[in-house]
Amino acid sequence: MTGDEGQGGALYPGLADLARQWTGAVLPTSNVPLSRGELQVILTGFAELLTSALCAEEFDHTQAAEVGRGLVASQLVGPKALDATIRVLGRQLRPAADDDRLVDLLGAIASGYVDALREHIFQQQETLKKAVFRARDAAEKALRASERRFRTVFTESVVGIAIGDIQGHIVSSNLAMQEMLGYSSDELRQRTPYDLMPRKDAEEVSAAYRKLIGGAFTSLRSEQQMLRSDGEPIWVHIAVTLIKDESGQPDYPVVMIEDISDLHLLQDRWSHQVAHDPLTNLHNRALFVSKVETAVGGLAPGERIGLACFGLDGMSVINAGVSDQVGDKILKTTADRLRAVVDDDTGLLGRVDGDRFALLAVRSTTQTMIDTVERAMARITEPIAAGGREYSVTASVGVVERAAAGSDPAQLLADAELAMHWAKEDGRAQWTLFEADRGSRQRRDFALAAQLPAALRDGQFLVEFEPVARIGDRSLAGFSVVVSWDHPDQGILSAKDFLHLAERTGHMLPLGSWILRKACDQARKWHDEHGDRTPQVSVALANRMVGDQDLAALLLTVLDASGARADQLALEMDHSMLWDAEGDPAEVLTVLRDMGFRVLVSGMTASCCPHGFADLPVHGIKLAPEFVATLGEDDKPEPAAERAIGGVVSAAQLAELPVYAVGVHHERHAAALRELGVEYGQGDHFGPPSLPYEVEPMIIAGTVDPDW
Amino acid sequence: MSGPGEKSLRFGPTNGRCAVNHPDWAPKDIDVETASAARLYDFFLGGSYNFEVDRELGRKVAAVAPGVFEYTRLNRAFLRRAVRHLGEQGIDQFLDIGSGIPAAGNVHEIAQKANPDARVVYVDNEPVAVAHSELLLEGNPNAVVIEADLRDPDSILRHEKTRRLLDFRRPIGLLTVAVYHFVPESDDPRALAAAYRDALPSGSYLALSHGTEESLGEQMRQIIDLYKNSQNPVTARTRAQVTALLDGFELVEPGVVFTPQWRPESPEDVGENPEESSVYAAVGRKP
Repeated sequence: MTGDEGQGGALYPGLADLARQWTGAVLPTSNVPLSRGELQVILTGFAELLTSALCAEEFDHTQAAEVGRGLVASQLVGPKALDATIRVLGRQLRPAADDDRLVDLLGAIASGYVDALREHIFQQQETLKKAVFRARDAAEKALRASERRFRTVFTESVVGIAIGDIQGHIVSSNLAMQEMLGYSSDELRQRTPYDLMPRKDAEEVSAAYRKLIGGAFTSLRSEQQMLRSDGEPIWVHIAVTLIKDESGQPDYPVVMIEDISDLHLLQDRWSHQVAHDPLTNLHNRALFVSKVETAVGGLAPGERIGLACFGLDGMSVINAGVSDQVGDKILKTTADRLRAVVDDDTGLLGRVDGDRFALLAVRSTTQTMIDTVERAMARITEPIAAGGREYSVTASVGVVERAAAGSDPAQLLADAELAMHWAKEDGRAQWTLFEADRGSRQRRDFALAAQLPAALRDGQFLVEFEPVARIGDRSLAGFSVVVSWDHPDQGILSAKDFLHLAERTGHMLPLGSWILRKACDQARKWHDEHGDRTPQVSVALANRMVGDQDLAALLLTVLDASGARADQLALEMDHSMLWDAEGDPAEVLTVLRDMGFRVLVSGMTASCCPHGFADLPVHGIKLAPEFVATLGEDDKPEPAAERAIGGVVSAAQLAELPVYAVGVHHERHAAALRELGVEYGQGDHFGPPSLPYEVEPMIIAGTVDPDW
Repeated sequence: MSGPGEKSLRFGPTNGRCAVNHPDWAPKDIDVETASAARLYDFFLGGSYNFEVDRELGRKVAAVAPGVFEYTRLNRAFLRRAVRHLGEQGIDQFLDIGSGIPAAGNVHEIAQKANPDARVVYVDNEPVAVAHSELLLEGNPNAVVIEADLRDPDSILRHEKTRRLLDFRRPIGLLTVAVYHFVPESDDPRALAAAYRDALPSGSYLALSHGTEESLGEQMRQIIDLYKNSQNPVTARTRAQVTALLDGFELVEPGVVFTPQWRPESPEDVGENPEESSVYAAVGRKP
């Protein structure tokens, strides 16, 4: 397009009109992304080229062909674009041109146009092919990925998946489905999901499926039972989704089932963990008792049941002194060994406490029970390697064996545990058969211990004063405080019935404080009343109190509250508390002395040597009542006992300590003791423990035999 | 709707596939056995990006409605004028939904001619049209195409490419030219239009054109019948229904008119019977 525009304009004055007509003719034929004005500018240029070609000396068809190409380049590619161009140009240029020249010109335009258009179409078709290829490639990649994903989901899923035909027959199923239902792929292929359901459910689900196909809804879900090939029912979530074809018609169903028996299993597992001891995996106490109950209920009248309680000896020492890990290893090993001796059909094991196992045997006899226990004990004592060492543990075993009928499971276990305590008390590493008498006594004790706190609160305890006399002249030397329990059911209980319980169960401190308060109150009252005639009031301190760090504070508080003075009181402590673990004098002695208390050492027997008491801040010794009792009941003298007592008294005298005898009930005892050098005595011979007003005349009279 | 961005009537909906049963990750079929609206549009524009199956249906359409070539061209011309107009209003980012097969006068060509920095996101649901657009747009950093469906606004508005190229804090030109007539009433086109409107910032524009039966009733009904054989069936709408799609926009003069009547560049362009274009056109501004 190198035409000279000026020349063209001059040659063909109607150029602008030609371009306008040309534009109007071709514009409607094609999608030209130009406004009418913009197109007209372009066609004006083309018109100039053409007119200059028409007028040239020699016709050059290339210029005209170039215009033809230019039309295509301008997007004048519609079916009628060339036609419209030839018509307009032919009509408009004929007056100014030679006919042959005009035909040549139009031919050249058409030729150029067609060439360019062919190229244009080829290019477009090429591009279209590329686009289709590209799209297909992408689609195939996506399809492959999607199929892989689907296949993975289908094969790897833990959810059972089956694809069915429209009638509901299973066509293809995954492994999870096959395993869940216990059928092979082929076996499933001959069935519908309803065939695998209990009849009633099957009808329901198949009705729902018909609704699904009918288009009532798009998917259905339910939770229900299916039957495995072995007839075992399983619970499943089932979901059926209908896949529709491209026209929206139901094509095929996809069935998914999830075995929720697993859920139940999980729940079972959870309750197992609640009911089992995680360390040994044995039943815990609650489950064991409930199993015992079931076992007892399942026995015929006349059948017997045995229960043994194994308490490992010294486990607290191992746990505290070695390590918990070693302790755990020992417990696990023991559990395993017990398992080995228990017959699964007739036996049951539980870990009923930290270091305590229980073994239940049904249809037992005493002999089979003892055989089993001895076998178990032998296994338990085999060395256990733990933490690079070998440990030997023993077990103390309590055994109960009785008729099953009427046995209370909890009582069985409690009795076995009680017998186990007896075995421990009797020296460990042995078994003990439960005896009803011994058991009931101990049970009564435990019951009493449990009632102690409430009894203290309710004021059921009573403080009495037992007179202490000089044996020689029965003059009043003091009072020993004695506590008793006015039990609502059992009547008056003496200290020996319950004090040891208080000591063992941790109730001694409150009870002991209360006794001290009462003693101090009374001592102060008597001193207020009778001044220096008032003898010393002595109170026995329980071991538990002597060892308590807060004893001094407690004593100060009590003195302060009562107004009594320390020197008005004597405190008795057991000889075993005089020395600490290292063999040094107990610190408490110094404390008590510094506070101003007199200290009497109680519980003295032949085995306690008062030689060493000389350097201690103590003020006398008291012979234990059972030591005194060795003097005998009747009138026959007991020389051996007298010698033993005499030895202790001599030693006390060497230490310059006065000797008190407790439990002096006979005249003969009193005489013998006096002979042996015992200075003071208390007991029935000098008067029983009594209420303050009852003993007050003794204070006034200065003797245990006041002249009423 | 394999709806090309601008074509007279993109007849032919999706091939009736039920979207509910079609997971996101399952690919669409490449269907060159059934006529598609995008390729028909190209045929009517005089293009060669079409197959015999498209041309066959195209010739049938032309037999009952010889003016279809003209309607298509007029719709394409409306798109060109609308984009130019928006450019004049300062719009330099466009979202063209139903962009179809590239043809002379693509949106980015028009917009970037006026402003080389103008950005365009093309959207179509027809894989071949999308692949085609990708070929064309290679090396153009300011224009992209995504394969998505008008009926799923989130998939378009939240698409990573959309978010990357378009700044939703500045006005956007949304082009839905000859595409809503491929959305049946069951897909609630008004709710879709509202969803897009709500996503646009104030000052944005919507350019829309839509086929109607109101001028050439019988002829249009025959076309609708023919398009039932394509991938993209057509739902023609009344002027009122078309106007409703512009709810929430202030109509730019001259309002909802036939395509040749919308801001013609010269009086001759309107022609004697503009209603025979059978396509309503309108541009609105979101206040």
